[in-house]
Amino acid sequence: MTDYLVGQVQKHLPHIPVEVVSQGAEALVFKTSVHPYLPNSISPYLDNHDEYIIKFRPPKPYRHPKIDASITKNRTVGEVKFMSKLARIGIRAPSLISADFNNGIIWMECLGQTLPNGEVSSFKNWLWYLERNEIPDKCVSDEVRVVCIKVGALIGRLHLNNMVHGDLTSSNILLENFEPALIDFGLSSYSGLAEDKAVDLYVMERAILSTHSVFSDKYNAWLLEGYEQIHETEFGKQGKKKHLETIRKLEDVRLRGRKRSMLG
Amino acid sequence: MSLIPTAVYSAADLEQPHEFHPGDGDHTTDGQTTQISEVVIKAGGEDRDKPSEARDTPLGHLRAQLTTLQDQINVFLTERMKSEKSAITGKEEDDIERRILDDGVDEDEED
Amino acid sequence: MTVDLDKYVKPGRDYYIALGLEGSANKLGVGIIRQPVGQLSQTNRAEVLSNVRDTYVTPPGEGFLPRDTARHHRNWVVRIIKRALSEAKVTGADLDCICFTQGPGMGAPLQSVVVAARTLAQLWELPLVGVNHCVGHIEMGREITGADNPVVLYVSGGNTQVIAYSKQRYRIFGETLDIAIGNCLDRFARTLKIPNEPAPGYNIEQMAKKGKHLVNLPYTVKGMDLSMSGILAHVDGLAKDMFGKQGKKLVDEETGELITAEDLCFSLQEILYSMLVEITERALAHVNSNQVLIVGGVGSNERLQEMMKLMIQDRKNGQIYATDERFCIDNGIMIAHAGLLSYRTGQTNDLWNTVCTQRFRTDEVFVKWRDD
Repeated sequence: MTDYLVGQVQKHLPHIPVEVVSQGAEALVFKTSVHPYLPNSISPYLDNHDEYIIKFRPPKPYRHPKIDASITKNRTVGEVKFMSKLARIGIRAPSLISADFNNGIIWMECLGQTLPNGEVSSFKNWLWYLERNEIPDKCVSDEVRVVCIKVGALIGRLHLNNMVHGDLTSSNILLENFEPALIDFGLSSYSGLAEDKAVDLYVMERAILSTHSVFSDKYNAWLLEGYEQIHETEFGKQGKKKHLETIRKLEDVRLRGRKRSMLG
Repeated sequence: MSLIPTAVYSAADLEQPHEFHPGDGDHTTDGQTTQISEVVIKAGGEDRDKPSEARDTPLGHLRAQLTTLQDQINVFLTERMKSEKSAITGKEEDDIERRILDDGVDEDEED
Repeated sequence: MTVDLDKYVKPGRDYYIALGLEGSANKLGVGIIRQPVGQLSQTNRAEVLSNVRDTYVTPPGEGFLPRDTARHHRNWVVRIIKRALSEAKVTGADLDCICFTQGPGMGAPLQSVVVAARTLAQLWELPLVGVNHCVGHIEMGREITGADNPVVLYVSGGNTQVIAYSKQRYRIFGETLDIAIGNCLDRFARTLKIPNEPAPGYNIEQMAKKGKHLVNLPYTVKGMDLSMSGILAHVDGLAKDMFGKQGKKLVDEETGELITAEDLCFSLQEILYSMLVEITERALAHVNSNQVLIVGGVGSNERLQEMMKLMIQDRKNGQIYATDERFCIDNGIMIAHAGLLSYRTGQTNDLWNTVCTQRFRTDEVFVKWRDD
């Protein structure tokens, strides 16, 4: 990442020490030791009192300024609202601390740990770590299976609340002691339509296929297993019906993908 | 040397195979069934893709005769497809090409 | 370990020559390539001996129908092949193989060109190599630009994909959920009756340069995928309101000035290309890469290249690679190049196995010539 981007966030947040964690596609993620309005000793609802995450959506010079301003603001507002709703209904995601909509800044709880190779414990990094460093058996161990099922269940609960993530990839799921949490809600939306949920699942299925190709069949099957289970355990007969509806749509969406002709 | 192309079409529902012969007539490379679409000409397009004329050589004659043969086969098969299709759907479909282009409908797709 | 690419070299020769035929859409292309033995690299490069193309162009407001496009290819293919051979100064006897586009694309044009490929192969007793059109673009782009392992944005009339290599396949990370970018632009060009000569997208680009007011259009990115049919419907609707019977007048909110056709082209480009750049950046972040290669006909758009450059500048060690219109617009040389790589690993098609297919996904191809 270029230094001027770090300079930009420091312009909006003078005197706040920041350390770069990663450069995502649309946002820079920083760590800081400072809470914006409370002394560190009193933030009782957070487990981690020592570190916080600052997410910054820098202006994108490639976009027309009008498009840029509207995307930055809409996504920041959307993400903040989505996070606060997730907190209300108890779906695991970072807690919100503060936000600056026009400048695209969100201050939030710091989740996740560090893997033995020094990377953040995202679902993606963990699976890659297993693939690169362990014997292949580890990649499809019971441990992985259980985590996949939990991730599927988490997505299921999201959908049962008529919430759609919009960018489900293995990078956007953080693991904390093997408990998954969702992050990155810039493309999120609210919808009860089976179609929208199916597209959400399809995006994830494809992300798993391209990112974790070797074992993608197993991973996807387990994810859907967890997704199905949660529908039944939490919503009984009605959940079962909803699940069936979404899965039928998912088959449609997949077919559309495969059958889409590629003329020209 | 004279080269005369022929073709045979057989299918389960035909009592006997259908044979095609170019016949004696005037053969040209400018086939009836391989003309440019009318829409293109109507929209002001010009046809710069006409096949070149057949040369007066055995291979040239073969080329022209093949075009005649192809015309016969095209007419025969189009007729057959039409009657098959109307037997199934009861209506004719003439917009298929445009839909292939715009809506990503496949040529081999049944609908 | 690297792949042995020289098991099939002709005795006494230290190079290969292949002829490639492309006709999956409205361009008919024939190219002849020469590859030296050994791994290709910046110091051991393939050489383009000839790269000839002829485009089927339709009048304004009309798209190219499969039947007429196939007819164009049939009636030009012999002349184009002859021209390619004479420019390259080679004959059938010099060739190692005949490569052809096996898909994806429009059925009728593909089939008309494969007939030519089969004929040549039997005439000169050469093996046939079927090539995936998208893989052709990727391999040619890598060879021309020297991009070694980039994230590829493939944008053309029929395709919109974000691709990255992993474990001997080009994997699709993101793609359109409905229509392709080029199709979207072509159809809008037809609505405005913009000429198809030299290409509808090119003419939209020229008009867009004169536009200055941004019209509000939906922005529809879904993860690394995107959707464009809603945007097309929206901008088509605006154009029909403005230039149809109603003659409705639209004004810019800020300046009060009239919205023009140029403004619509400008807005459409701005929104579509922003989306393309965004999904490309998403893929970069996801696979931890910093190289982008743009291929496909729409890849020659200057505004798209400029936007991609601005994006990549903000990424650490970011690099962008693009080719000019000789290589990014459909051509025969890319088919020859990718096909020859395939041939050098022993992958050829028996005659019975040369049927073309309209659907042929990029990730179906086993990339035997790479093992990084």
